[in-house]
Amino acid sequence: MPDNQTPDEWLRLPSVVNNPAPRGTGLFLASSESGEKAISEGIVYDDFVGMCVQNNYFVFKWVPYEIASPEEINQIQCGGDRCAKSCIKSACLCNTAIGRCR
Amino acid sequence: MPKGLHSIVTTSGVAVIIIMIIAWIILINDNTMQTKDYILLIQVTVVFLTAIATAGISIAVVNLQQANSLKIEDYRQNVGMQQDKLRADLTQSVQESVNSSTEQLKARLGQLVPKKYESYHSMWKAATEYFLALKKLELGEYPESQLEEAEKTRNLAFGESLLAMPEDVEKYYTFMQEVLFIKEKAEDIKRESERLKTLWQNEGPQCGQQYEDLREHFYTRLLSLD
Repeated sequence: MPDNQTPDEWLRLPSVVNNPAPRGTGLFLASSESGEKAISEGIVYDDFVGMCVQNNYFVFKWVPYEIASPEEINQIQCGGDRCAKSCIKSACLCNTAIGRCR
Repeated sequence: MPKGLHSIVTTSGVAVIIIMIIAWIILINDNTMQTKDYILLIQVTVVFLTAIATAGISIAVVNLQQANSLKIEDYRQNVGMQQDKLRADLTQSVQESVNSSTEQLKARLGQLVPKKYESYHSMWKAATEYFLALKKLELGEYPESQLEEAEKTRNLAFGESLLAMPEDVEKYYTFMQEVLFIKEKAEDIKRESERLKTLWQNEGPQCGQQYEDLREHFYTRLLSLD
């Protein structure tokens, strides 16, 4: 089962709750061996979750524009810090297989 | 030709003509003087008047030069006064501009410097709250509500870190990622007191060292902001 690392509070943001099709940036690691995360820009949350579940991606995270723009996401360095379940930085995913942020 | 010189030459010419006419009428008509003597008289008169005219012209030229010198001096004084006035106006204008810029800069610094301090204090406060909450693990407790509060403070500090140096914010992120790692590990065993103690025994020393490093780093930075 894919690990959805999207923080709950992001889904409770007014700009997300009040929008029937909120768009943001989707980040995912297709498998535990994936070295770098893949990015899906300008995608609706439900569509992104559906895609990740359907493809059985290892971990994923959806970042609303209010949290970070696509340009900001591209600039954030994840640096390989230790993680257990999630990463502090909005643009980083925790590869739970190796316990490192990507 | 200047007006004074013109009048001297004219007057001399008229005087010569008048003398010639009077001498002609009086001396020649009365047969008291011969023509050659008359010519000699006229020559002497012309030389005399020429000498007087030359002297007059010289005096006029000297006067003219003096008048010109005075005018030049006046011009110089006027130009000097105008220059002084312009210089004074310019100095005042530049001074006012500098004063205004300085005041604006002071006002901006007055706002920015405290905001920078606030950024560091917020980050340090959040790091401390989180670290102290995690230290409860060594007692075998999982401080759920304390950690929730620490996370709120952490998120506020992220928002207030805008004016801090990027490398300092990065250091803060690294520390907060480390404590989040320990917190998430603890969360899974939150009802197992002994395992919580063991977790802190394993992770606490390194976390404590990172906490001290962050304190030292922020302390140094805050001193350099003065």
